[in-house]
Amino acid sequence: MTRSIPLRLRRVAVAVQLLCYPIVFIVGRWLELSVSLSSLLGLVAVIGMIVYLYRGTGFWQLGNAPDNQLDERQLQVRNRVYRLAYIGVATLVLALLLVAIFGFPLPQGFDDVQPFYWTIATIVLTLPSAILAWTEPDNI
Amino acid sequence: MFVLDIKQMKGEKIYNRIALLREERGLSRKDLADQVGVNFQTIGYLERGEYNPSLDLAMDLSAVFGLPIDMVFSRQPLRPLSEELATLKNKLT
Repeated sequence: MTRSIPLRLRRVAVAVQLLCYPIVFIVGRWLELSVSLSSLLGLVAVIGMIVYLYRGTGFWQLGNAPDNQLDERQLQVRNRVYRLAYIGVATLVLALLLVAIFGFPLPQGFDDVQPFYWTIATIVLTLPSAILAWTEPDNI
Repeated sequence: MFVLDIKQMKGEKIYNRIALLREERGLSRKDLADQVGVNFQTIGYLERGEYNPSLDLAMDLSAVFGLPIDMVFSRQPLRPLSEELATLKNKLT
């Protein structure tokens, strides 16, 4: 780990990272940009936040490295984080299933599905590292 | 506040003299971490009592310091080494 971000700032950054795609997309649409351009700007924002939050801080590596590259404490932390991420993803899937079962309208058509898909994809792909960044104490 | 509590995962707190012994020997956290094969941040967590090591790691650390494991780790808060040595000396004489 070459740089560290204080816990409070990290938590703000995690919230921004998880929500920036839908927010940028909605703002883009509000400014009457096309769906594709709004989506592209949202993805650029997500990538920017990922680079800021995870590059050089070790959280991405801790969340994704093979077991043999981690020590015993890191493995314990990651196991716990994966469990929490699994609960988060399972809850998300169950919520979507309930929405579908009870007949609420799910997005249909490319323009509607695209932001929905990318929002969920960015959350699911970064969730373990996001939980790590949210929960790891500052290392003094 | 929601923070992963490794101490809870590992049970009762274990006190240690790692920081004292490391500084006494002029080792950085990185030096010590390299000698026992862990990340240097793990040494910080150990020194602050935020993580209880496995028996394997505890034995490796004790071996680096050349001390018995109970001189480095304890279930009770550790007394200064000088007091500990004086008690030992009294027992022997």
